[in-house]
Amino acid sequence: MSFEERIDELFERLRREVRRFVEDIERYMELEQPMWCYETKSLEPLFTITETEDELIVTFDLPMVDKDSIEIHATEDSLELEAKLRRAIPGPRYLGREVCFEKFRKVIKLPIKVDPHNAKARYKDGILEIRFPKISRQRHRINIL
Amino acid sequence: MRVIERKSLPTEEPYVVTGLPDIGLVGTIAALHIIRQLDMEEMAYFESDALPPVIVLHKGRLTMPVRIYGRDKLYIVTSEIAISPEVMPSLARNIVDYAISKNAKAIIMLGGLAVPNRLEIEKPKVYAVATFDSLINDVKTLGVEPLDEGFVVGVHALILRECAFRRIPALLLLAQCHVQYPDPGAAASIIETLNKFIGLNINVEPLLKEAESLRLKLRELMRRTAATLSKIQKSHEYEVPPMMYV
Repeated sequence: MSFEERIDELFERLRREVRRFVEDIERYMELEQPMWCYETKSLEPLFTITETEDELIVTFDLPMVDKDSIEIHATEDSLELEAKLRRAIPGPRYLGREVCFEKFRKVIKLPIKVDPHNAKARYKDGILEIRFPKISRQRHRINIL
Repeated sequence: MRVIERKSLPTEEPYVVTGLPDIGLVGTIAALHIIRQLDMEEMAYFESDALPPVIVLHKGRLTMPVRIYGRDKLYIVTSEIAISPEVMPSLARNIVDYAISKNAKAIIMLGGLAVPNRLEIEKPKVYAVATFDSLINDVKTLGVEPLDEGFVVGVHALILRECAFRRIPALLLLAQCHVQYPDPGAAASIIETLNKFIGLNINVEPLLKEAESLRLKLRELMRRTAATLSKIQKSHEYEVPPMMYV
């Protein structure tokens, strides 16, 4: 392994550690947020983000949802999901009125840049998996003409 | 921490089963289903200043979040709140003390074994860890595979440690499951194993039918449990351990 590759690897490890730390903080901050929104009549789904060498994989747990009612929009660094529930779910009473939740909704800031055009998604047993190719972080030598 | 007992079963040598929030909430879901199916009665609850200031309302009745149910020859310990790492050691000790006070035949823990390819698995397999080889041999005949290498982390590890130290028969059953999503399919697999092991006849069909609704209802508990598990590095569980003894 060349010196440059070793430095790259070190920075990659450092980047991962910092990201894990930030994710931990975000997770604890999220715990204080409710998993529903009365205004939009939506529930927040459980989700996970994992990484392989060349992909970022985001999964959502979407019980009571049919494949055709899932809408996903993504940019290089964000993902927006909306999925209609098969039937409205009554929530706890809010300001003296009953609210029914009609959909799942979640916007996620992705931890790294991805290629949204070549993302692939599949839906099985109520779990949605979206695989984004990572945008290459390899350094390229540029010749000066 | 102490156990406040309301009732006790007249039976000798009962089984004490734990279904506590853990990976995939497998134990919690399984315990909930067994309690409902057997129409079990509340026997006792855990009281501690270290538990969060939470009280649960069920049909207008106040109950404590960490409770013990009982019926016939079975006690079930379950919790409706995530168990924080600070509470785990005293909870584990109290569960073992309770089992000893009841002259329990064995402590059986129900849990999940995280697998990355869970979506590809139709029927989750069940694995086992035990304090005695005889228990492992018994479950092997039921198609359960022993877990030979790896770490066990969290409250199950503490109960196993306590039981090994005090020479108590303890069996940890782990069904393949999703890491961070409630997994009723895994809970069904583990109940089927428990049925065979201690001679129960619990129907898992109703559990599988209401799987989606359970996944919806248990989101909050799953999120809090996942945060706790991340704190105690549960993700390291079942990794191959360092080759210290090779």
